[in-house]
Amino acid sequence: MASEVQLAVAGSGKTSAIASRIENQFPEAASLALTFTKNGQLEIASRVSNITSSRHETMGWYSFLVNHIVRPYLPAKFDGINAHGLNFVDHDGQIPRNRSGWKYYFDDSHQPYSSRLSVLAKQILELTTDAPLRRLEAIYDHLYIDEVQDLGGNDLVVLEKVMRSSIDIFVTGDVRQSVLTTSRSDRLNSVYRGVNLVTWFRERATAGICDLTLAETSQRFNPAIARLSDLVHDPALALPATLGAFSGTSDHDGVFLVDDTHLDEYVQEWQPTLLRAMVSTRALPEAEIFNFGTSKGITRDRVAILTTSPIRKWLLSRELLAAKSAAGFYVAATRCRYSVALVVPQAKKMSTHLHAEFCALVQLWEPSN
Amino acid sequence: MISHLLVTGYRSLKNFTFEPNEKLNILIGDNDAGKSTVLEVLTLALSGRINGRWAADELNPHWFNHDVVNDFFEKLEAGDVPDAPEILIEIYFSIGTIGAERLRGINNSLSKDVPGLSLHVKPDPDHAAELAQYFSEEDVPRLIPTELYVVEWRDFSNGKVTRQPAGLGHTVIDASSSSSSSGVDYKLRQLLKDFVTPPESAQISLAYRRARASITDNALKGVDERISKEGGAFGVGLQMDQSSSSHWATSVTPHIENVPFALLGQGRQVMTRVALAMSRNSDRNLFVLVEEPENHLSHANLQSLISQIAELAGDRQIFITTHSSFVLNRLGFDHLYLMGERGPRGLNTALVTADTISYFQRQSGYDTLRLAIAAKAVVVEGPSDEMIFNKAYETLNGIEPRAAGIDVISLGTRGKRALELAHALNKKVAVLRDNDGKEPEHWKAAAAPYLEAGRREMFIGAVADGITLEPQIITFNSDQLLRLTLGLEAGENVLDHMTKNKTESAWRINTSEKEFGWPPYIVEAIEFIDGI
Repeated sequence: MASEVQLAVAGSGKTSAIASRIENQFPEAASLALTFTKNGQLEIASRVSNITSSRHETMGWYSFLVNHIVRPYLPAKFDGINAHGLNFVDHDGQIPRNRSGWKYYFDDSHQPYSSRLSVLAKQILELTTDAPLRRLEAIYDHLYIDEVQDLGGNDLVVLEKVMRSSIDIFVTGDVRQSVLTTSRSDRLNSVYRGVNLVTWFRERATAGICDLTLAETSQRFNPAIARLSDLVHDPALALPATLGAFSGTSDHDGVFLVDDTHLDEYVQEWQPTLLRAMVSTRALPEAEIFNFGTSKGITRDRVAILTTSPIRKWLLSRELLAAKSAAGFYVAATRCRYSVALVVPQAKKMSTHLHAEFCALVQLWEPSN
Repeated sequence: MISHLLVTGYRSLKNFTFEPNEKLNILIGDNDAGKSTVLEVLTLALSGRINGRWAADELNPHWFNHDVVNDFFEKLEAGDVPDAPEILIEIYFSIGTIGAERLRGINNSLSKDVPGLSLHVKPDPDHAAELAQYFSEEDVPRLIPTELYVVEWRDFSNGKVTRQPAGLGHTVIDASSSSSSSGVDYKLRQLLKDFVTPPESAQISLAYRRARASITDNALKGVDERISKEGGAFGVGLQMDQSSSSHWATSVTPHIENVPFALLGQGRQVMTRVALAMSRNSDRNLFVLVEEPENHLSHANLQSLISQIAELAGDRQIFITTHSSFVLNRLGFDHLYLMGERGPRGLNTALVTADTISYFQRQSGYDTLRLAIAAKAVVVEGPSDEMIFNKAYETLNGIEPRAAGIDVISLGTRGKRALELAHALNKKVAVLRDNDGKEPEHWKAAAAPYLEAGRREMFIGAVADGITLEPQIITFNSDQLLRLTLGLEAGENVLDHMTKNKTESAWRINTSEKEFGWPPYIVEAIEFIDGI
């Protein structure tokens, strides 16, 4: 069966696309939805009605690798290991050195280290000539993968093998939002990190492994916010222009430049949600506050983004942000329906020096008195 | 379907493999050959339970194979440090078994990539030190300290299993132990639950809860009020049990024509169990285990039970243990498995014609089972042949054939079918028959496909010595000896008398203290069957 990949912009209803596919699948069919974050799993589970849930499961990517790839066929590589649970590590540096053999992949209680799990999964697939896939084919008719931008490195090897199986696969995600990644220490496929994952999918589509569509319509925000979001990532990737299809209007729509000394007044007048790159000691007005990464998945009327110096540089010169910063900023800028405020020092001065692309887009906001 | 069963160290199954048939498996064998144990291990690995209770709760030292345990303690006493005995039961399903997909993997001792379940009884790693300490003590009784053991129930994907996997249900039909007083035991309750569809069950549950609530609100309320009025009860009141353990199935009993289950005769009880287990709604009962259906059943009931099983089997895989040739013949003896030390041996079905199977299905009294179980068999035509052979054997060897592991069976079918069956079972068998006026070579040629020198041979007297047993005996004994033995009057003809009173004459010879001469074909048969 075909593998379908849909890379879609923020607010285009990716998770609902999965939920509705699950609801509409053939009643006898068995399905599995995979996503990286716990929130994503709860999100899908909550949108699938109880009736279908007996034939549907939702699990995390790591659980999938442990339960369906590694554990059933582990004796092909290591004997006598009762793989279970997960030892979550951010990167290899958190694993004690000088562990070899099975201990390279597992802690002493046989829990796999998350950062090395996909390497092990890949090896097991190779050692068993993809036996885990034959097993999966007998269990599931449909496999849904949400938030695919979180996969990287050896995960992509596993993903490609899964896409080549006879299971009906639907993959979705937004390469522009890859703020998390399953394997930070994984050096394989590093050229496809972040937004460059789109290139990996384009290559697979050309090879006939999957059908790739890029969905560019967002119901979440207005055209001005869409325009801003399109300027974040490298134009060389030739991602299609986002269509901001949200048509609601208010007294304060679009993208604004706000001087950081005016932040209190701005918050008082428009009640935005504040978004920042990371936790800092800076005193902030009373408001809802998120970091870029954790704001993923939320939708608000207005946000105010506390800019970093690369973001300010980008506003002045369009110098590209580093991949990870770009993803974080993209997530932040696409959380809101009506307005994005970019909080900068000396906003008034900056507003006259903006790069040509931003001149028409970004308006200076100043307190009314 | 179960394609392979592997057991090590459990009771009599020391090192046991069984590759059952997809549909019907009839397990036969002597008492204590481990037939019921096979059903027991199937239940254990399929459900994690035994007699309705969790394996871990029932685990006891007698689960362990006697030889293995003795061996272990002997090594221990000799100063070795042997590995502690373990029990492993593995059930391998064929690929494509519906409901077993998730159980697939290579975590099994054959490293096969198939679905399966395993039950492993092994030393508890958390108590390793205590176990070592226990075994190092002086004068340890030769018993395994099972409180230091764990029971691990896993599938071949190495996932822990906590309940019987849906779709792989099994049911046990066991006439020999209907223990509980209501007759409704755990197994029957399970059957009742399966008999009812889930929506029906939900409805019954609701009504049952309401009924109990109404008793609490009405009848019990008055009682409560009286108690509290009389004082001194410290707030104690009474309510119907609404906990989940009071499932409706515990208060429901099947009945037939308004006779409740417990009051049915045991025969009807068994029939009811089979009907429940194999009803259409119980299609989750993929495996049906029947233990000695002939127990407690009249012949007529057994007959209808057997046709019921054959009819309702559908796609289920059935395992039956039996001591009855009738059961074996009716269900088709091509499905038989003879219990052996390392596992049951099947019949080489390629060697049995469909004609013979159907012949025995009709001749259901034919003692196929005895032939199958015997270590060595001598097949004779009738009771007089049997008595004469036994007497000859005893006179020549000083012991009865039975004591030498030889079963003398009168099958009265001129030997050919018995030879075919013995061929398929690869049994050592001697067939003795009358020549009926034709030379022995004629009969041997007719049975040639089933004969094999040293394994299966036919023994027939020469035509010149008499065409049946009686003239043969007359040829090799003096007239006077026979007259005396048979107590004949002077005018009576020995041959006439013996032919008219075959069994009586044979019995007189059999019980006589005198010395007789034996026809050479009988002596040859004895020499053959005594050989290895």
